[in-house]
Amino acid sequence: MSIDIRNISKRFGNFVALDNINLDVASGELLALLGPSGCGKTTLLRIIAGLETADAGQILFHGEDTTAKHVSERQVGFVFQHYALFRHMTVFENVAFGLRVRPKETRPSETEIKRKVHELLELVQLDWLADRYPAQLSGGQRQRIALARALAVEPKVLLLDEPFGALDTKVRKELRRWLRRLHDEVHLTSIFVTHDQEEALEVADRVVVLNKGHIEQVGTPEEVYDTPASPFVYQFLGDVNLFHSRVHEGWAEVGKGRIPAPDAPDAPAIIYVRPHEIDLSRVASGDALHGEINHIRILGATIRLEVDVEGHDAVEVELSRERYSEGGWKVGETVFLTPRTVQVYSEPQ
Amino acid sequence: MNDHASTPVTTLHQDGEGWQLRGPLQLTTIETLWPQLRAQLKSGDILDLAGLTHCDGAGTALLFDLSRRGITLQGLGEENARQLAALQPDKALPVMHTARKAGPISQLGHQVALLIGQWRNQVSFIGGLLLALKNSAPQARTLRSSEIWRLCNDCGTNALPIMALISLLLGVILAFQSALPMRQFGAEVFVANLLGLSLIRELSPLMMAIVLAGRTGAAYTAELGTMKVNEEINALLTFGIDPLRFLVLPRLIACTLMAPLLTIFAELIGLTGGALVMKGFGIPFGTFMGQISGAVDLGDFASGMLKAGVYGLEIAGIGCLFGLSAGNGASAVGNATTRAVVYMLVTLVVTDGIFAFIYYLMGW
Repeated sequence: MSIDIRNISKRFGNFVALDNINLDVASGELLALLGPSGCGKTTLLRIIAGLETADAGQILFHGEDTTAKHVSERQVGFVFQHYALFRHMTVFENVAFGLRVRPKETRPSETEIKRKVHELLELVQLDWLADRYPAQLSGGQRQRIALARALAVEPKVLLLDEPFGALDTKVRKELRRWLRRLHDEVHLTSIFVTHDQEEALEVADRVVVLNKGHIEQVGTPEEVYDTPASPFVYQFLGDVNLFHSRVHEGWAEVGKGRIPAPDAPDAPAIIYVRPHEIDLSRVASGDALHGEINHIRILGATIRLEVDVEGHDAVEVELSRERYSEGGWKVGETVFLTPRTVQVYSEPQ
Repeated sequence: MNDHASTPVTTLHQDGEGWQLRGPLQLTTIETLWPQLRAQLKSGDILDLAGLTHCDGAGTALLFDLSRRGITLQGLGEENARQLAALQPDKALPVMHTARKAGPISQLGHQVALLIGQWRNQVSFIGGLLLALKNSAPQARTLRSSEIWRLCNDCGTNALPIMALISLLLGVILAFQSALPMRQFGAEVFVANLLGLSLIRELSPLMMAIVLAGRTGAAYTAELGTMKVNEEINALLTFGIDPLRFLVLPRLIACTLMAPLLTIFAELIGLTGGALVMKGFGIPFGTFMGQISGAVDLGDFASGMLKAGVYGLEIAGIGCLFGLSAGNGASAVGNATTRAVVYMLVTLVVTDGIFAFIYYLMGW
């Protein structure tokens, strides 16, 4: 089922949580709402679910206006960040709950409920935990049970509010892939909220980047990563080095070197370079920035070097382990930096 | 870069129209220089800085201040000029909006608005409850009877030990304290009348209500507050379940049913305690019973029961209301519980007053 979000606005006192949001979610799509804390992503999700009411605007489910519909009539499955499982019920009871509380006319029979719950528990690969209580499960297991519980009522839309936010990195990575596979199996229109750009880029069909209550960019993971629409998106989707400079005839001077900025107008500009898109060398070339290695940090598969560039903050450079050992870089060495790709934005006046 | 920390030689010279600053401009030298410059230079003056030997961050801050005062800076070295430009002295400083303390009138208004908000919350809660009751009345069997029995057990049966202890003490103390002065008039036997009337009409329902508020009412707030904080309430909503019907109504029913029963229990135990004390004063059980049945009639008993029922309803209602309107975060549950108990106790006392007034008017 498709979802249309039209001109949604929401304020909390003087704080504008959402400012005229327009968004279409296609049927069967897995969409990520990505943004920093306080950008309004959770508020938007709760408005779609009906747990919060918008000050203005409409929410359409499959072309039908649901703005005035109560959350209980919208048939959404909602997965909360902190699981919100019913603590006094077993896993089985939790998943069966949504079916058991239906009015008699639409309630399935007890054997039907049993079959369905076990099917769902198999889907989330936790059938063997049916008789446990939520307190006896790990965070990742709880979240999968919460998902099974949300799916039990056969919702038309699945909404996930930072589903993996409270889990550790390893479990989070596993669950991400699992969620993607699950979505490919059930093909339910799903929206999930996250502040983790890696998660959004890996899992979602499309990513919506939100900032301060408005949409910065909507696109596939490749689109938002490769062609960010604004400096915010560029900065948010990964580590960046940032240079303040002035573009002059297609070149931006930084320290004693310069960076090509062919299409930028002659004006003060901010130049962004990703740490892994910088080449290091010991040989001076015409335009390279030169600096001194100040720090070397080993982050598992990658090595991060901090290079002091004159007249500028330290520049971070990321190298793979092989290239690091090939180069044999040492702290205190003078090096020359050449960015492979740069993104130039005119500085707002 | 020269280090002039020990011998600051920064000097200010007047040179015709303009001013000149010579020497290092750094943290150790600006302390005396800053007030001096502020006093002597006016907006529109020109300050030549070609004679600066060194300028650090603190010096740049001084230059920034001068620049903001409208003094034209000249001859600044390239690096220092860039440092100063980074501070953007020509841009307006962001104005900080500090919250001003509100005047008495706006504070009053704020309090009234809060109060009205609370009332509205309560009214809509009661309205929602009545609606839930109306919707469940035709299909009373859909109310989860097992849940109601469990709750009855919680707030009724499990409260018996504490109820017994308090009532017994109440009966003993009341009997003993009133028997002492009465004995001086040889009127110990009337202690039974006093005990019977005060326990059955007033004290047992009230003590029962206070125990219920502390035991059950607070637990309801904490329980529902935790569910709210854990978003379990929202989870219920997404399943299409009305929390008022699902969670609040069974609690109201359980409490309203159990409160009168607990009161009867409290009355029996309290009177037993009194009877034991009176036995010590030489009054046999038979006489005690006779006195009580003469002093207390069915009306007294019924008025006590009515009160107890209303107290039970109030306690459960307030407990659930405060639980459901708890804020978010770990401390919200504690806050809500404290406020709920205070609110319950105040409501109990006020209700008791109202009952006394009504009974007095009706001549009961």
